[in-house]
Amino acid sequence: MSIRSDFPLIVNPPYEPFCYADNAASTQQPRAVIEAMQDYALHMHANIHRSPYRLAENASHIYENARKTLAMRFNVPHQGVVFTSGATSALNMLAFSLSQELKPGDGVLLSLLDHHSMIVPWQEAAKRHQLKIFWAPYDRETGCIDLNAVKDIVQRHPEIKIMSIIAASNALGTRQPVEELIYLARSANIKTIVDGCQIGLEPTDLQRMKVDFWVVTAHKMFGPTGIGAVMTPHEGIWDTLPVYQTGGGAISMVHQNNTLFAHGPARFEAGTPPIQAAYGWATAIEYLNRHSFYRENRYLRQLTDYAVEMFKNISGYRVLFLDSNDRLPVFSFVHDRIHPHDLATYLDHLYGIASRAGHHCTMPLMESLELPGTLRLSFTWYNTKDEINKCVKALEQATGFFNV
Amino acid sequence: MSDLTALYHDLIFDHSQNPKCFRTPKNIVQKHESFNPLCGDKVCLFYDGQNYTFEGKGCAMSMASASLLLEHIANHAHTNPLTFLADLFQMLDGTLADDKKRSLGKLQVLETVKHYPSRVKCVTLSWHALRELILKGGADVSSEHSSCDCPHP
Repeated sequence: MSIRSDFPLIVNPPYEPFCYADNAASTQQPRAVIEAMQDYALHMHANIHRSPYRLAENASHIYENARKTLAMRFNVPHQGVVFTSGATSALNMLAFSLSQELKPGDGVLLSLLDHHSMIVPWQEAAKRHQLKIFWAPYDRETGCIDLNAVKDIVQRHPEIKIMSIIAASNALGTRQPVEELIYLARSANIKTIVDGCQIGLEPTDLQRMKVDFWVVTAHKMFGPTGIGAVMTPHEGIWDTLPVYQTGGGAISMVHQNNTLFAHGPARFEAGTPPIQAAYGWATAIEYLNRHSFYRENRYLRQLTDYAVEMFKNISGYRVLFLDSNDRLPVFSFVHDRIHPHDLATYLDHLYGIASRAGHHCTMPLMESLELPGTLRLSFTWYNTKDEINKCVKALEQATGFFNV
Repeated sequence: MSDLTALYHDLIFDHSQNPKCFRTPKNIVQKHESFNPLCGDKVCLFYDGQNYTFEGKGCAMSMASASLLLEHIANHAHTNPLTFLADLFQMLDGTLADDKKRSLGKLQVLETVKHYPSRVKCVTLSWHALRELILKGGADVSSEHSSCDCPHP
């Protein structure tokens, strides 16, 4: 698989043996992105949208081009993209702004699969504005949000005004019925927010989906850390929303007694944005665009199916929702006698396998599963079947090491 | 392999699988629960006026550390536990003199964790809980639920 050689850290690992299986937390960057970021720092850096010299004008051009690149990838208008410092800040921005338009007693529907970065901003907003939070349950067989239960909740609670859901569970790897949920929400006049971070590598048509807000982060799609985005197909919606953070960049006019805020995405981009990271992200998207998604997706499907077959046969472990029909190559392991943190240290120090242990920022989900946490292995384009074999071998031998 | 077996020493396995002082006392004079938000581990320390005990749920390192600590305190009843705690934190900082280190007995096995930064919080979870419990000083929790809600490991 040629794509593997595009990722310097994967082909020249920091230590050996090494197997990077923590892609649900952050993906590695291809050489093109690393070089672009360096090139920017060496030859292109200046602050944007202000200074009247060519270097700064070019930096502004680079930043706005990054917005266009992201918009095209997700099929939204150029002005439908607000850059943020990451997905968490994007979700905080939405909860803060949208909640100001709600009245006491209005409802927000969250899912038990949601990440803390979705849940906590709405809990805080609920305290500020006396909102009610409703929870969409998930099917205990499939690990997917229960559509019938959501339909029932929405019908019984017309006060629900916002539905905030995750596109695929970062803890379980199960893909959620996002299009059906958006359709259901739209028919009840509920605004939708989708955390799309876990499927950021996939081409997604937000116009067709008719979602209201879609959140992504660069570092889970081969880009750098420090930048994310909120996207919407509804051009002009930003001007209708209460502002979040304020200051330079987000304003139109500032007088002693009042301030007029900027129009478009700038309204939500106060302060100097992550220009270099935007350039790196745009380069990552161009990298994604250059590859045939069909081929890469088929490879990922094969890798996922292979992992499912291999993980089925490991004795002593439970892999949560392994048989889910539509899953990402993200797997959560539980062993009755070995704590996930002990397993993660063992995998790292004896086999060089980079994994994640804990609650994966989904404590309500873990509580519902009556688990303190899991060991998570997550794979992506550059992982191989051989690496999955290594993971299987390492997990099988853990019982001997821990004497259980 | 040798590095990891130093961290997961036989003592760690012994104490995590069969923790000492692992019980909720009938008469709780003081208690303090510590929680590691990174992994969800919990440890609850109790004082019944004479002995320190604990309950909790967590990884081998966190359970063994609590067990070794409370066993050490039980075996040195005339020494202020805060003295041990200060020595333990210094041991992980690498600033504890060798003679003092030797006086920590079996607890020295925990020193290896300083080479595993992501696991230091596991080992020190019960240390922080004990320090908080002692420094809170005589908090009467008799009106609270008499047993910790921490499940068994």
